[in-house]
Amino acid sequence: MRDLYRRLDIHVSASDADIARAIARCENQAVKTDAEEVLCVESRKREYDQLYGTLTGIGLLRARMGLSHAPYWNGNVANDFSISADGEYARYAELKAKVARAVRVHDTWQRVRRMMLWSGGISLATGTGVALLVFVPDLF
Amino acid sequence: MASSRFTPFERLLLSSRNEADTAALLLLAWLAMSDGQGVLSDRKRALLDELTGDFRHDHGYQLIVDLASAPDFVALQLAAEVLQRYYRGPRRETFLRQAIHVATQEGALAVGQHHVLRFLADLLSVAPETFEILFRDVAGYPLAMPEDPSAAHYWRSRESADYRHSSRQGGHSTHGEDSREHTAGEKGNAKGSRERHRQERRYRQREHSKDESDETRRRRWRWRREQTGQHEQAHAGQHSDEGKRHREGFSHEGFSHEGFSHEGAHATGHATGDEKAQRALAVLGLMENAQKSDIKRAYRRLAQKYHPDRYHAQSQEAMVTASLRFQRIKNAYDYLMRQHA
Repeated sequence: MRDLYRRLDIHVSASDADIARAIARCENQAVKTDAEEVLCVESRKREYDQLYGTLTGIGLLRARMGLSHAPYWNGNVANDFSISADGEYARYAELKAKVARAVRVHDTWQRVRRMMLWSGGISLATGTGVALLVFVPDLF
Repeated sequence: MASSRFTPFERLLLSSRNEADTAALLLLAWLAMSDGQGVLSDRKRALLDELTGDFRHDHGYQLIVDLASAPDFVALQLAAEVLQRYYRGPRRETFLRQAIHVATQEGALAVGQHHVLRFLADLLSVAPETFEILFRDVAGYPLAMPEDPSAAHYWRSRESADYRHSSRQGGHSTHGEDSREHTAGEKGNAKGSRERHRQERRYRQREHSKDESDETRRRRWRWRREQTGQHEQAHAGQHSDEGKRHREGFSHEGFSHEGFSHEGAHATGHATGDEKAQRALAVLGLMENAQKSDIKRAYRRLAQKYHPDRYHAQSQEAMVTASLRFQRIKNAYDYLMRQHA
């Protein structure tokens, strides 16, 4: 399957008028007839667009996962829907990094909390001592 | 720099008991929904449920369905990476079989599903030759090249086929998505009807087996009730016991346990029960005339050999197969013990 939008040099979200103008402008007869038949009929266009979305997504996934040259990605589909890798890194690595960061934050928080508890306890004890010293001096 | 917030799917993966199963479920849902209609019908959902019955994820469906229906390709990429990591060896083919089953369930293979299947095959680096064999095996017809909806002739031939079909049917609904299962592109009507028949047959078979398993479950339950009844009425004589059984309409087929000596079991048992007993004996590696003591000994030996704990240190794959095998052995043993009780 070919990417008719790319071949007509328009965006998927182009309006019907834009599509008609692009078709009229098109010089390749084969693309012109096919685009007329597919994109100018409402029901066909709807289905084509759904498939277009799926294939764009698959092209993206393949590019990001290094599968752009796998055996089942060939012909017109591969020509039109392959995109160049866009420097995105692997999602799984990203997930792991997030988990590591979350664990680190959690650890830090635990440490801070422990310290706060300790210092709180110590200051409470000191406060009690001082209070006793001030208010009940006979004790000593 | 990525943000440190977890996306919903990442959270789902982290909370899942088995991330590979969760990822596989998302990819299968995506496949089911890329048939040009983009909704998960009840039938498809039932199919997914059935296929993923032994998946060990522990979460609801809704998020998965949402992610797959308006495809979230970030989540799908994560799922694909997880799958690529965890699925090795024969596990890949099992998954691809499930995928093909999902895609070909609703009539002819839709173009979108075709491309998704090809992506999954490439993802798990299954060679086209192997994948074509798998496809023919599951779907019953060979995998062709995907059709080309960007060409005018695809639509013309499809709609004329639709028209032919509907005029033969008596002329309601000239064309539309609902009749696509009978007609896709160049495939003729003969092929469509053949496919339909095959599907119906498969569906009926499934229904049948479901009925059967229901039946056995019910029977087993009834048998258990019988047993407890027997314990309660242990003081009462054999005759009154039997009378009660007759009053309850206890059928004599299959699980007729009363008064079985182990020699008599095969002679008097109903054919299905007999077959089952033979299969159970085969699982334990025993001959037909095995005694109770033989069965016990064989079970102990096999249970020690195949206990999943022994495989704990090895790969997860080995442990799963071992536990399946152990389960099978245990089921066979339990069945035979009930027979000999």
